[in-house]
Amino acid sequence: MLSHPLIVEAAETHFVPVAIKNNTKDDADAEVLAHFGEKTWNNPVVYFLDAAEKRLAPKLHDEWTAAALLRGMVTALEKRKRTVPEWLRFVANEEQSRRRGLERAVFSQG
Amino acid sequence: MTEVWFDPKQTSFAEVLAHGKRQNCARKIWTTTNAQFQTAKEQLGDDAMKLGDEPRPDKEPKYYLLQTPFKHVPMTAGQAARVNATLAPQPKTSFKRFLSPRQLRLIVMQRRDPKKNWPDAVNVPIAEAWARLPK
Repeated sequence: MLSHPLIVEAAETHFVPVAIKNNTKDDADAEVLAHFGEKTWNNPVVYFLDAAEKRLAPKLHDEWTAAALLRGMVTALEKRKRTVPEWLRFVANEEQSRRRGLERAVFSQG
Repeated sequence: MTEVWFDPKQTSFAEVLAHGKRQNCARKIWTTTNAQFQTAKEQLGDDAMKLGDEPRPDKEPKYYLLQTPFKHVPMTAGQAARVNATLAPQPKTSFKRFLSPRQLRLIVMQRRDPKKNWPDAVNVPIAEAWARLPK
């Protein structure tokens, strides 16, 4: 999901993205991991936090999809009372619909 | 023919069908579920059918995108459908609503440097199309 260019753009322009490795010892990354009570070598998780570490959206820990990440971003911006760009909300809704499952039908004028 | 994909949690098939009838583009319909077929049969009678063979894709899908530099802009499928509609005559809204600042910047870059080797991005998954952009 981090190869999705619009997720990358949203993360870089509306958030301060921070990646913490979870397989290191005795370094700053390990400290941060311990601070948040995350286990080493665990599956990746995503936090949406403000500068005071207040959670702005539920932690992503069991759904690694573009839909879930975009939903978290939109929720976090709303919680922070920031304007959610229309394009971001559109793409988030599209991914959410795709994830839930689309139906199709074929129409003809004649 | 128009193939419509919709989220049944957001809108019902009956609403999609009613919209199609209002737009005069749903005289016949090929359905993909039994529930759709029952609803369509009630409204269209024998012009409601179950989809058998896959419809042949248009030779020029996203026609309006293809006529403009937008064809080089990587988009999601939903963005491509909406932006294509905004490029048709008498659009109801602006393409700017649906594109990110980086996507909009690509349009400017293409206009500045049209001879650069910009690959077509229509119907290409967005991550793949983005990776193909010239550096």
